Amino acid sequence: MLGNSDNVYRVKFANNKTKVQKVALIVNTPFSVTAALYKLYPLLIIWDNVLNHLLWITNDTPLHILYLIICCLSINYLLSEKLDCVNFEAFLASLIGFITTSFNWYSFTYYINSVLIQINDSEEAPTLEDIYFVLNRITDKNLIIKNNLLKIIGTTNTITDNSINYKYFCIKKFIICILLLTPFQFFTFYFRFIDSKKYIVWLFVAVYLYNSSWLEVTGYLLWRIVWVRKLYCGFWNTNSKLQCITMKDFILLLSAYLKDVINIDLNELQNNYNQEGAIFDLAKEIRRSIDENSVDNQYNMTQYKIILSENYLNNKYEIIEIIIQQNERKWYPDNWNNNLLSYEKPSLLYYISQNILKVSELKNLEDIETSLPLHWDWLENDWKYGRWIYSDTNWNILGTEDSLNAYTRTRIIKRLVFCQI
Amino acid sequence: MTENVNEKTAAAKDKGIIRKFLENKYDQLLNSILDVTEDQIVLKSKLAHSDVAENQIDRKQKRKLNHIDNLLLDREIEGLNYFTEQQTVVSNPTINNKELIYHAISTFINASIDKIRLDRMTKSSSLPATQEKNDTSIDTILENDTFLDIFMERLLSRIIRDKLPEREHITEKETSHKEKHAQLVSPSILASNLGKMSKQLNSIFEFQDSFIRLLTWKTPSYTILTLLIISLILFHPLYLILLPILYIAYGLITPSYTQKHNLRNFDYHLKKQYGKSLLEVISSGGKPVACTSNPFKDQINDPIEDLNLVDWEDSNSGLKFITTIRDFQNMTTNLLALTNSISKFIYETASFKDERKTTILFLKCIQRSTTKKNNLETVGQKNEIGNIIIDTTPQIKEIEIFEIYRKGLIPGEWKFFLYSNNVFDYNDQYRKAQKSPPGVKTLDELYPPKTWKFDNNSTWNIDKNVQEWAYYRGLLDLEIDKEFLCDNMFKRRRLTRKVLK
Repeated sequence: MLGNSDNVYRVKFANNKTKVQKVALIVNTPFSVTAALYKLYPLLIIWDNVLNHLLWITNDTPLHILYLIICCLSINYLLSEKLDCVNFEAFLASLIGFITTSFNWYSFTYYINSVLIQINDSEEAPTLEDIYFVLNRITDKNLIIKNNLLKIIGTTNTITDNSINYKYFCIKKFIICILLLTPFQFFTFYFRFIDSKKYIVWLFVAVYLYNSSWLEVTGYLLWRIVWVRKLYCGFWNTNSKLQCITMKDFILLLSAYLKDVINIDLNELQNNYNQEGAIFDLAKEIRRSIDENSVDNQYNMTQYKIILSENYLNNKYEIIEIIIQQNERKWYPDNWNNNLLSYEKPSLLYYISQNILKVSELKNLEDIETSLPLHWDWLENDWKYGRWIYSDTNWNILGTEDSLNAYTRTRIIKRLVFCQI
Repeated sequence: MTENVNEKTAAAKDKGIIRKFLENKYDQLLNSILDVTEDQIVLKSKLAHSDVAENQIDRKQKRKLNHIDNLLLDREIEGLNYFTEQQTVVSNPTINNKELIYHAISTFINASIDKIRLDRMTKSSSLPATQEKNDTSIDTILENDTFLDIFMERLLSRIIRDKLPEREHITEKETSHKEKHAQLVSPSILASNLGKMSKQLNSIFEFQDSFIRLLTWKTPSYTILTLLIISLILFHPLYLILLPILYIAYGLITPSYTQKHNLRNFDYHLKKQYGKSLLEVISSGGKPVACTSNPFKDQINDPIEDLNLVDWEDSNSGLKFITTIRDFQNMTTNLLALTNSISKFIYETASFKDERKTTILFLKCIQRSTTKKNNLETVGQKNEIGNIIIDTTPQIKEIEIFEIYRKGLIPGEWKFFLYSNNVFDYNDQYRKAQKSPPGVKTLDELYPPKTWKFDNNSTWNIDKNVQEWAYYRGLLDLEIDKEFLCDNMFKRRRLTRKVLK
């Protein structure tokens, strides 16, 4: 019944790309389009193969390396100014260059010719489905090349949707690249640091190898070094600097931001509050009301400042809630700690609202506990910890559960403080 | 003449003594074995009937069984002691006939005891294996329960001295006691080595094949590249160090990264490959020369002939043969260890089993290959790579399941049927066969595809875009009711969820 060797029923992957074809494409396609596509077919095949070479999609990697060497030798030969027949070594190099160049040219024309002949001589002409299939291949490969290019001049703000990271062209990065590279190239050639021939050959090698898995993997693995990231993020200055403030400043700022003031007259409440320490009993009451009124992670109730007035002792208290955002990162293999990367947000942040966060000058909670300004005291004995919210390595929220792609997490810590006015 | 007569009478005396002694011993031994087995049978029958007073009898049983074991052990040690005494008297390095008889018989006796003990142990698993500590070879015996195996094992371990001489020392009369090879010749080790080797022979043959392919220009690009690399090494011998490092970095680590993190997966395959490469055409212009001679033929025949040619008449030939086997056994063990460590390097160290370790290995390879060219001395100093952060996004894929409902008796009433991978439309093979499709009754019974995990942060979502999923399955002729796709008997909706790897 279950049909599986391990006796469990396994779900299959969603497959929305391949359509179950009931009607042939040719029925719905206009004749002119079909004819045009048929004419284009050899060109598509050739372009597909060029993309294969650029992306190193091959079963015969040594052949690709050989082509790279041959191309380099050809460029070297074509860029040489004159044939030196006196120096034997130079003559040999020229001869090899000539052979490789002619081989390269013949190889290219031979390939194109063979494609054309094979398509023309083929007994069955390509169907519209075949052409559609090749077009799909080309689109996918073009997308990969585009994404690879955007890695240099794309934005870091990726939008994650169904596991596809969309990168967008960033004009700022592009301009910086041009501004930096132009003087570099100018001076390189002006002072003849590198021979122009060598430069072009190496540029060709770089372009040829850029989309190979070797360079891609090297990039990914180098990206794992922390100082490489620091260097990159320092260069592009990707993160806006957050302001660093003290606890005193934070309380002042909080008092300024809190719009509504709730005045509670203790005399109107029950008698048991009319005692010394009644404020601590009241803290529980306030906490309860805050918790009841807060809607899922929306800390609206904290926007209020509570003023307690007490006629009996002629005292007035101000109560506000300190909210701190705690950030942690997962280090290999499963070690969560507050050791964050220096260009990221710090581990402890003073929270005023969703968009207004200030950096704490203190690094851990114990220090914050003892850093209350004069006249202020903790109303609650302990911090109230919120639930961890897990996010990916770029702090894009994933959910409340730890999973394989969760590399960072954030939670809110709350505690009431009071001050006698 | 008189000396010869004296020798003969002494030999006859010896034989008589041995015979008498052996007859007595064998009788005693057989009696005690029979006693023991009878005891055991009685005990077992008791065991079978006395389930009620289990606790009380348990101690007694254990004591008795221990006693039986000790008895067997005594018999064995007794036999062993006598023969080892005899063995020490004979100081001649070559094994003479008398000694051989001693060994053969004592081995036979001990092997019989072992066999009986083994049978007993396999029958009653509750028996405490106290004798294991005393007998070093019991582990190997346990694996091979045939009498012949035990007998051979014992015989070889008796006949062959504890330490076999090195090959080069065989011809020497006195062998030193400081031999390096402490390993005994053991058929079980040899057999298990060969068994393990046969599993790994594939990769060895594959390597051999690729070497042959390289030499016979089967893949010309491969051969040309190899020639280029060889000439490069000849011109710059430094590449001899550099290229293996680069091979580890780009030949082993990079492919395993792309495979593990699924970087490049093109599942498009053209029906027909158009176009030809000039290089391939040139190289395959002539007919490939077939390899007529079987390279393995000689190798297969040789050892057999060698075995036949062994001069058994030679006094040292037995020792030589055993040493050869010992060396062969050591060779297989070493070869296995080597292949194991190579495969451990390829499939563990270099294949991101421990992401951090492999990353550091790769970075060190790169570092070395770049610094080696400039200055060899700086390598040691600049070894610090720094902190490594591993935050590669896992592979994320979407899975789907269909929640199928069946039409009830009352019009408009639908009853839940099951969750299935099948859409269960008119063309479904199970539907045609009037069977329910494979599936489960609750979502909890569903498992993700093998090696994948459900994303904890994603739940089953109902696909509201019925038009689209029906289009891709060619089911647009069916009626759409909200998120359901209905036919006259069943309706279904599509649920999706994310899985991670």
